[in-house]
Amino acid sequence: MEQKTESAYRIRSRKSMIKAMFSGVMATGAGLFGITHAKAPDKKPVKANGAVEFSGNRQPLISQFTTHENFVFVKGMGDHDETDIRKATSSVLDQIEEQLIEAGSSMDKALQVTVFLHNLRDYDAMNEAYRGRFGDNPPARSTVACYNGIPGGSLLEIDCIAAL
Amino acid sequence: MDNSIKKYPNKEEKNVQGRQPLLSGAVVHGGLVYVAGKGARGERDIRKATTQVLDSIEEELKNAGSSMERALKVTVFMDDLKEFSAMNEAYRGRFGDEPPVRSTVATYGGIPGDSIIEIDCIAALD
Repeated sequence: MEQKTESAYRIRSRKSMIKAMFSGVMATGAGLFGITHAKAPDKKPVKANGAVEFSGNRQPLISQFTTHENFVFVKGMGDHDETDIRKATSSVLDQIEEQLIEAGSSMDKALQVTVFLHNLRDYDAMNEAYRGRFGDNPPARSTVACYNGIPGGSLLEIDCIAAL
Repeated sequence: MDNSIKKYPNKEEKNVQGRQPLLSGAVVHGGLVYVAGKGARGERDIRKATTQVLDSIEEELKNAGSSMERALKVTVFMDDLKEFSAMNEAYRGRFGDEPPVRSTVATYGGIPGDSIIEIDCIAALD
């Protein structure tokens, strides 16, 4: 399962693609030469990343998601245009869902969520849009407000840890 | 599955005999290391403060048997969002070509220990 999900997103960057090809060659080599351990410990990727922002020759700043073993970590998502808290919450949760699915997880496998609100007065309306989005057994959640403290002018930012 | 938990002491806290520590510097469990939120006491330049905090995180990661390249999830708490771009300048590249996910917020006056930035981290072990 891990193999499958890794190959699904590791092709997202040229570098990852080369790495994937290389690990394929390594695996073939291991088979040819009868090496019993399929993966050399120092060649095994400890994590796999979702899309990263590349800008010129600068290194990327943030990954959309990272995975390790049975976990997927989704970056803090915001909506920089939406001024309605219900719509903003739905949009942010849609983005999280998209990343979870791409990583091979889903909303009902979410374990821990952090919600940063621009203003605590939006708490009830955020909850209305939030309720039910993670299924019948929702993840643990922490919520705080950080007045004017969310980058990009978003009304909220949500991140998530889920099981694969 | 290794269910052991290993905790590394918080080097910033003074060791007082007969008193229990408040928090650990890093905790290892299940192939992951959780690094405590690090600050830069007294440093008023956001680039320098960011670099200093990331140095502290790097030290904890290495000490626990991980590295910056293996970081999975980072949370950045800033004192003032005006310094977002400058923080990013000092942050970019520190975690290698495949950086961790990140959540960033500003908490205006809400960071303890006279620091203008606090960063915590979850990483995979080697």
